[in-house]
Amino acid sequence: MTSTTDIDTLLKRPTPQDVVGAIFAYSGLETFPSDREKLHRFMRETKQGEGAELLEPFVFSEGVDIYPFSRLLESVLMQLQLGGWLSAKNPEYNRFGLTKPVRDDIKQKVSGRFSLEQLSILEGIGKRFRDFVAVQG
Amino acid sequence: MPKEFEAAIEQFVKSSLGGYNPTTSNRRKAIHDALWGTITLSPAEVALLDCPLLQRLRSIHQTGFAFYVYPSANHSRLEHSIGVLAIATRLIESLNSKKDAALITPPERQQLRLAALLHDCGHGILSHISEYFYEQHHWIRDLKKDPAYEAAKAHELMSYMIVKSKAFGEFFEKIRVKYGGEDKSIGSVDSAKLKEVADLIIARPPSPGKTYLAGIINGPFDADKLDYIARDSYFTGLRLSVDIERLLYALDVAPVKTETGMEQRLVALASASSVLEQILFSKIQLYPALYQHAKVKATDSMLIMFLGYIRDHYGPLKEKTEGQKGKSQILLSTPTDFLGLTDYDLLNPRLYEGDETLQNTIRCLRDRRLWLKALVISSGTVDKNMDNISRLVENDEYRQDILDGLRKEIHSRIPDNLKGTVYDIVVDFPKLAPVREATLQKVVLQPNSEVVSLNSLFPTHDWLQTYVANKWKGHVFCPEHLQREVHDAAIKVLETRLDVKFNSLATELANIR
Repeated sequence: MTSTTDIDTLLKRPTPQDVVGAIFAYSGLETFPSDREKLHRFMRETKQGEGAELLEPFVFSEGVDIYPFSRLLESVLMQLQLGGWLSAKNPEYNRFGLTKPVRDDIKQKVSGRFSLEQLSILEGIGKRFRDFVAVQG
Repeated sequence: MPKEFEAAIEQFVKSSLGGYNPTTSNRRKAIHDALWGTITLSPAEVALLDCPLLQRLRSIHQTGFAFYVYPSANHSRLEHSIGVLAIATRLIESLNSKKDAALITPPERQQLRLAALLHDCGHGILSHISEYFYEQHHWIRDLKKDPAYEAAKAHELMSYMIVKSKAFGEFFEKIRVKYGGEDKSIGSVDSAKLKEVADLIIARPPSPGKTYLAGIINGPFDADKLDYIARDSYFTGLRLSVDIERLLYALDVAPVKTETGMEQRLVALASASSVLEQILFSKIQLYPALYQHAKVKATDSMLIMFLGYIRDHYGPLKEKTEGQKGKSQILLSTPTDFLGLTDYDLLNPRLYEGDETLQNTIRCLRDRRLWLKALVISSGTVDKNMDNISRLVENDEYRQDILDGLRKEIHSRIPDNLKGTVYDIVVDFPKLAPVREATLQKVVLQPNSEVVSLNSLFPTHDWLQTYVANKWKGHVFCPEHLQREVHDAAIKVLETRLDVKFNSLATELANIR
């Protein structure tokens, strides 16, 4: 039987939602385009580089879809909205938004779930995401 | 491909078809379907439909036990499979009518019709309720780590493996030998072509130049989706509609740029993009109205706990370590265990002789004494951010352990005289309805011959994701006599463990008696 302590320990384990939420929060961006192809490509490239360990649960399809696509990433984007960590910007619905209080809340919450080394990697990926958005528009 | 998994599938197919010989009528058969009218099957297709592997689907409800909420939702996976065959055929005919030379050849047409009939043969008892269990099994989890299988659902993988199995190949060869002389199309489906039938089920085309073939069986507007939206809404009485005639008119094949080059894909003319939106909207509306309707979920929860109890108490591991008070003739340890049963088997109390817990649940199900809501969890009933809740709605490795832990902690707070068992409480955080068709595929053929995604015309994808996130509801369910106590305990446990704060709506919406 799972004990109370076990639940607390399990809840402190980082989830895919924490990984993606942290990347968005560390980017410092107030809004960014919700273009799925670009988001999926960015995450796959990141998985092939510095984010290999953190993005391990995200499996990207090959040869079935028109771009590398992770069902888990797509679900996480909805989870982030459900959890209040991400919002689709009305009325165009083509941008996601995270206010500063939300970004701070995410950073504070995930800080206890990742090691210092992992947090540093996530911060680096967040900055790279900011640069990626700046270039991609 | 895990060897153990392959061996178990082989064993299942052998036990289903071992010693069975295909029926040998030489007559075509007309089947009259409530939705699509008269559907004609060739003698070889009739022989396939008659086999125990497919006849089992007659006793698997398409929408689990949703008929307790929508009394006429008694349609089966077999009816759906025949419906998919009918729609796939209409899609093929529509495409062929638009080209000078037939785009889809008779042998390809035959492969598609076989894939349509077989696409759900891997569904376990109670359809998606049993999938909830076996998709967590390490055989499936390991397989889905492979990018080649990432996109496939658990039951699709099971169907794929069944059709690819040696035992099925041997059985199908008997049909081919019997009918292939006169029926050249069936004669063309040799073992290599049969493997392509299996591939079509998991959206894998026979060649990149023919991706449109896979799109008919498993794609953004495939025959499966068109049938289940129409069938589930028709038999529940929900008034959802998809203008299939207009879709057939607008259907085409066009080159689409992909990562690996150009592929010929199934598309629809831009003038019919509203039909594609209808498909998506209808599919998504089926979730709150049917698949995740609170009473349907309460029934699902009873069944999940019922199956969970059997798995925990009668699995092979437990048998080695614990004595058994009663007995269950059902073992549910591996994904293939869920294939050997039908929904009707499950309700037979004789299978659980001496086990009071199982027999009680069966009596409740038979008499429709369903569980009640003890707590409603949604953005409307929780005042703080729900990030700890949203972290638990997807299949993370530890998700189930956490939900089980919460259930057990709630149970521990129930007074001893009412307690029942830990299997009397469910914390249900359903998955978010999958939305991907509008962005993942380029399906709209513009007048300038460019093919674009539906989302590029209107942000359907983002809009639907917001809709899904806002419509999401979790629940705590339990038997009626525990409702008040479980409600009080659940609020305390979830507020403490998940750092949330419930408002009065959480109680009011649960209709505590």
